[in-house]
Amino acid sequence: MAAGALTASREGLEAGFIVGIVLVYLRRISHPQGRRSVWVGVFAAVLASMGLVACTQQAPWETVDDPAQSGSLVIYSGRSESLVDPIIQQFADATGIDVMVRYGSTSEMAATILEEGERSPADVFFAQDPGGLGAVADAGLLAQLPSELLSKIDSRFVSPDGLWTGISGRARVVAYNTETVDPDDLPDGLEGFTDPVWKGRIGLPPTNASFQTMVTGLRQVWGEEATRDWLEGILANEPIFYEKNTPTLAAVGTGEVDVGFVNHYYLYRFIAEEGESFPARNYFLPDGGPGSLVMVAGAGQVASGENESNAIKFIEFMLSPVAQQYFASSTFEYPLIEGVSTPPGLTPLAELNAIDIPLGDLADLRGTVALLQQIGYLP
Amino acid sequence: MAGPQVSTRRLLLLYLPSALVVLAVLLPVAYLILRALEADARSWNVLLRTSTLRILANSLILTAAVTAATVLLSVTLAWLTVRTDLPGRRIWALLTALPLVIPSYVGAYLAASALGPRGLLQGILSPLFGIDRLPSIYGFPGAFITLTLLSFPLVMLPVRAALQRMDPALEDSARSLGQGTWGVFRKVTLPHLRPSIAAGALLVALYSLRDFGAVSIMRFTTFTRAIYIQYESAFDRSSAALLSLVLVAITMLLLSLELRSRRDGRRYSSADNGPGKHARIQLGRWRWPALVLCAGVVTLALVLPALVLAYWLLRALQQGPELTGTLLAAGNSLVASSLAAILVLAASIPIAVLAVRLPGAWSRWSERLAHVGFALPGIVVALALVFFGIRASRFLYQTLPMLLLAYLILFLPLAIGSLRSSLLQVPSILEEAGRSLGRSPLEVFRRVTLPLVRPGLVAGAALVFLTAMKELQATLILSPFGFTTLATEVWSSVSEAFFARAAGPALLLILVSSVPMAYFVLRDEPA
Amino acid sequence: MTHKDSIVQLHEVSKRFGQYPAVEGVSLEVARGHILTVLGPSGCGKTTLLRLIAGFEIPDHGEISIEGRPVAAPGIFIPAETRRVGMVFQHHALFPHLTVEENIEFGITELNQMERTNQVQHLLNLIGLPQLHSRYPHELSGGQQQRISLARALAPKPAVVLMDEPFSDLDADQRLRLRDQVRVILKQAQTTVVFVTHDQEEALFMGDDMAIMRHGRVEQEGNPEAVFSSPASTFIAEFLGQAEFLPAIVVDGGLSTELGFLKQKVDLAEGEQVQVGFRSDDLDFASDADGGSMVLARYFRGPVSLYRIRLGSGRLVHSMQPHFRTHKPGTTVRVWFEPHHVLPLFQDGRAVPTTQTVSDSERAVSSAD
Repeated sequence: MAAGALTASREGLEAGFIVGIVLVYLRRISHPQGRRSVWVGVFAAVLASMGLVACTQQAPWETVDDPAQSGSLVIYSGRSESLVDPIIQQFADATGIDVMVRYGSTSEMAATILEEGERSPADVFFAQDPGGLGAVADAGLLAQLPSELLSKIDSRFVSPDGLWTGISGRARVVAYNTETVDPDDLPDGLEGFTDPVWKGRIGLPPTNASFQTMVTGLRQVWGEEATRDWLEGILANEPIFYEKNTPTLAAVGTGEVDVGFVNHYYLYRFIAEEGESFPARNYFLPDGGPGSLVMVAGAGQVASGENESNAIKFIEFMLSPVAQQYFASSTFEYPLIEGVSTPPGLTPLAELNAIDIPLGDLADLRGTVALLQQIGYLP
Repeated sequence: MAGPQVSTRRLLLLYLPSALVVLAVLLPVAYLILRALEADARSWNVLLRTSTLRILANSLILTAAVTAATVLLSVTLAWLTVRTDLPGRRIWALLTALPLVIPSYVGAYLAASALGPRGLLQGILSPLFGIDRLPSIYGFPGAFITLTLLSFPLVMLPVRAALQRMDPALEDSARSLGQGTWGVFRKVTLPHLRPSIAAGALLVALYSLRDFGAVSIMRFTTFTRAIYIQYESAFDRSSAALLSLVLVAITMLLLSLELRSRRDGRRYSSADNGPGKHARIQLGRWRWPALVLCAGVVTLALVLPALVLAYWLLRALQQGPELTGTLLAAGNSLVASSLAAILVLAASIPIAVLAVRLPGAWSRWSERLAHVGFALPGIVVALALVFFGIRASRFLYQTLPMLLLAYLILFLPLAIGSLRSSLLQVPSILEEAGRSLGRSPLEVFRRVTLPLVRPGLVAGAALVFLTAMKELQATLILSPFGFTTLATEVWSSVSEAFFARAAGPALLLILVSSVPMAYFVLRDEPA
Repeated sequence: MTHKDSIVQLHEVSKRFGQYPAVEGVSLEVARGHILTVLGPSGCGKTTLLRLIAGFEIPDHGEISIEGRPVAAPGIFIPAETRRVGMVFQHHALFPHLTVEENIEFGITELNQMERTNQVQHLLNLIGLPQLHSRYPHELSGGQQQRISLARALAPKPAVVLMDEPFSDLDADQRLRLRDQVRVILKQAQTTVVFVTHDQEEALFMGDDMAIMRHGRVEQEGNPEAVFSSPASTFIAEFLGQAEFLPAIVVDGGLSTELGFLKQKVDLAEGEQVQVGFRSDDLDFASDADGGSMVLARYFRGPVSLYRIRLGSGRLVHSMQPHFRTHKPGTTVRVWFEPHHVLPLFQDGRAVPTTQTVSDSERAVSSAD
């Protein structure tokens, strides 16, 4: 890095001299119009050299000939860079693998993999929620994960056909504004929020995969009818729709709404940004209904990728104590393996009264989306 | 009787390149048709549902409203800054052009956080006036205001240019025939401006049709939002394709409307570049309302976002800024956007030249089709290139050239418009003079036409540059690995509520985009 | 004029725009070093003719050759840039972004910088503007701009220079002066020129040869004197010199008209009806209470005055008088012919051929009283 910087500055200095000499000469021969050409040339040269660098970046399917290298790995990540880049870097440093990550939203990455089909250069699909993984799995694009890998975590957090595995857990909570809501007034279960006393005070993100997964859980546990009734009941309370968890929680914080149906870990992000005085806290529903669902962010190995063994190594690493500790302490998510302590301030997984729904049953988002569209949560 | 030489040259230099460009732009349409063909009954059901139709109606209403408002606002501001003695004209000219550099998702987010029911403004007013909750700006009002304020420069810039070019003799003769200021404006100036208004209005309409960031933050469900939901929640690309094709159809409709209005406008272009300066209209006491208008627009569209960003930036600095990532992203943004500007400009040349110098069926169609990409959501264009790219040219897939191709498809109309109007002002007689002096048409183009259309080239390049800087969707999907841009940095931070972290890249994005804009607005200003 | 002396040859050239025939069956030749003026009213096709020669339009029929080489013919079309044809446009068409020097240099293919500078200087001297190298077109007057245009067109040493109404943008003063200067320049450079105009004075002054065009056809061709005094049709007579006409009957020895007997040799049978063409300098008049005609108006023109007179028949004619002879409108007068030359005769709009030459007509008997 330093050598590169040195070379760059030396070359830059030389170039600067040349340009300076040309400019002075132009002034000497009284040809000031030429100066514009000089600057255009400089700009074009800078552009060309940067473009050349960008264009010659190695594409992922080009195999590395050097046997000393550990190979490469292509990850399509629906999890944001600011969250997972540190742990991915750790993996890269530890293994010497050249890791190339594409960041986007889970649905965009899923759509891309689906579009690429069997030619996809991706090795790993790291998703924010099971929906995207399910869609890619349904298209037959994920490879079966080795059973030793799957045995590391609770079967609740693995897809039934072993095509993908959870990596970190997130619990559904009700975030509430500490200034306007007394936690004692909060109902024990989700059904309580259909009470008219909550009219105009609820916020939720209907397009968000986590919310939709929760509704899928409701359908599993309560059945279609009851779920429909609940949805209509909430709608009658004139909730405010947001597009994602983040704005929902932000709205709870400003008091735009008093409660929001979100995932648990966003709160910690806000507290880290704005301090302990941020006026919102998580409320874990005590009744143990599907409102307390624990979902996962997970990963699967894309079958068409060329770096199969590296992909497995990556997923293994994500399930290792190092990585799981990272998720617990840095992103405030639930670790899914034994032996890693729950982040402080979080109700431990075991005490969560979390409903026991196999993840496989939660992957059917389509039905949920149709229901939400019918009732009017989605256009 | 024509010798073969004439047509071969035209073929190679004009028709062939324009055909290639059109082919590129049609890739997304081909992709959409392919996917739509796989649609089953359920997908058709999605399309024809009442709620879908209602959303379509909403979209069209929003588009119409935004277009009307931007035209009204732009013409007023353009007239004020070009024709009157408004104090600080040049500064207002620049400031009112700048809102275009703000990405819609940033603008909407800042608007919401500033003007939301419990936003910053409410926070300021609460201790003073005890206001607990501001009326909600979400829904149609918020979407309408945000889109109008962020896109009106698209109309204002061509209208300003047309006003500056206009022969003063036209308005002077009207005045000498007894028309007052308003009469002159209505009967002489406005008809003359019609072609530039129509061209700008088209861009605004397409922009608001395809916008996703602003309308989703403002919680107004538009047709584009429905498309995204198909990708996002249903993972249903066929339904999304069907809906996108509806967007394409609407685009073609809008295009024929604009082209029809432009045909009538050809009468007016001959009265340009007249000698003499325009008389400045004295505003008198109208000066104050005018200043209030300008200040209001600039405050809402620029100052407010800037202040909120500055607030977040201060917070970020308190936490210790991470500069390297942002600088790298800035470099990438610069490279990609500059290359995009050059590429799009080059691609627009054959189409614009055909449209102006060799009008005919192909010229009309190639110009029309060139606009198709502008209305499509970035994700559609990106997926189309994924589809074709990975099958047809694997070695180019996920490289910068492919990303540039996406930018070409998305932003071509921005360059065509300004190049066309510049070309219209270069009388073909100059090109004939060049040829009569023994220079080949290509040489004449290079030595005579190009230097003379430079203002239009610069304008087009600046527009493409700043729009490419803001682009998000296609960049995420198609860029090479590790190729972060300022736009992706902003999005990445905002999506995880790291607002402070987003402020730096956002401000940098706005500042960098403002530079070419400032350059081209200010240099063409008469004193 | 033999073929090998002619620089430009057109043979039966036609061009239509849609249904509208712009140029029809035109055949012309321009001799080396000569200036051919093409004169005609607006819409007569003269500009199209020029553009056909230049190579900006493709003829539908016919052949065009320049310096003996066919540039437009069935199966052949040489584009404008290779025809070695210089053009001076009505609106100067100087490149606004280039200096005078750069404009003139534009067509010079000489690579040596010194040579180019010399050529430019030579041309600037030729047009009488030796110091204007670094000015831009918008800094020059109209007359200067047109001269620079000419210099620019001359720079590549073209085979022929085409000028399309180059003085119409200028005011009367500039026009007269420039006309003079330009003719001198063209002759000095020994250029072959095709000069198009609608201004008959200009055409008469500039051209060595003249062609009159109307509705896309060449109505008459020849040297200006001949065309002026022996117009081939009433249209040409009117267009060139504002001729007027009176009906006449052929009688023994001359013509009988309402202004009296006109002695003139006529190659027609007695009793034939003709139109006599005459110009305002061919009539004279004097006060006469029994004259039968009345002065209607006097147009003071400086050295001469033009009088409009109503004849007894009700016809209006004009007579030119030196300025010191004044007659008030309303005066009754007697009008008669004072031709000093043979007056052209017309039947059905076409000229009646006469065996007399120009020199003969100058020696013609002055009209009888």
